Amino acid sequence: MTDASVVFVTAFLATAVEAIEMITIVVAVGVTRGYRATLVGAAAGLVVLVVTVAIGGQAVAAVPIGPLRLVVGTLLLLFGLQWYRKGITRVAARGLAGYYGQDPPDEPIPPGFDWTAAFLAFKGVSLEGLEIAIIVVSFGGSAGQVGPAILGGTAALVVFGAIGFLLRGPLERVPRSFLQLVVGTLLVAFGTFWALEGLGVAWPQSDFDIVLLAIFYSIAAGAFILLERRPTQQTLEVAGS
Amino acid sequence: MSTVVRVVVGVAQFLYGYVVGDDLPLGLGMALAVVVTGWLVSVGVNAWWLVPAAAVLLTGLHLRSRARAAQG
Repeated sequence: MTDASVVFVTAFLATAVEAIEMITIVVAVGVTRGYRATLVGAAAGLVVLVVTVAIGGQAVAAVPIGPLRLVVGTLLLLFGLQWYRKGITRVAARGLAGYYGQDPPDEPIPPGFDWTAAFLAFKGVSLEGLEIAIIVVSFGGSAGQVGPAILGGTAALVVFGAIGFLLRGPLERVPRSFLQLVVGTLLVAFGTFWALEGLGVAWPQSDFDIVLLAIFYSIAAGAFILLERRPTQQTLEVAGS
Repeated sequence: MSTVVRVVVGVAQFLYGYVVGDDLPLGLGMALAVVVTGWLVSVGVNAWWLVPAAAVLLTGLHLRSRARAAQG
């Protein structure tokens, strides 16, 4: 039997990778769309996860993650692309400075409950949470130390949840258009990664390819912004001459 | 229209707006890229590059057509 502390640390570290992905999505959606619906969606995702683990127990390790990743990843990819191109257009039109707190939402957040935010947070939490459950249950079960594995996974969620909460303030001061572009880029990167992994694609650098995808999409967004700004600047020069 | 139909239509409209948004060709293009990637993987080609390339290409086409439409 593996030592309990080793199981705890290993489960903590393994969970941390997935927890960072989960909390990145929740914080990003919360900052962009508001926290009320986002936290409701995240809480619903956690409830579904707890119920799934409670009912499924060891069977959760046998949930076919491939089809799940394909469906959720494709949805995130398509939705993320909407924010990605809207963010490009808006940042190209207005730049990054001078409109703090004045940026009207081009996709108005509906009065009442924001189902889009709740749905995004729900998907992020439930999918990443399911992966955490699979890691914890399968690793803890195979080591004969399910208790320490659950504690390690829970500790990682608490630690990285607190970090995400602390980052909330600085994130709220970032211009909304720019943040929409950043969130869109993240959603497209995560969506691409999950959808293709669900298809059976072998990513050359494994999970690190999420970072590389985000960099790739960021560079492309920067190029598009430069191209979008060029006609605007030419028009201004003609008008000013 | 009955309540059930209204709910079904509302959910369908929400899902369409959520998944496809304002650009149907882009959504269909990305869906096609995912399907083609699946086919390539099934025949032994590790086509991890196709969807990122398609996403950037289709976004570029979307932005260009939008700019042309704005110029009249």
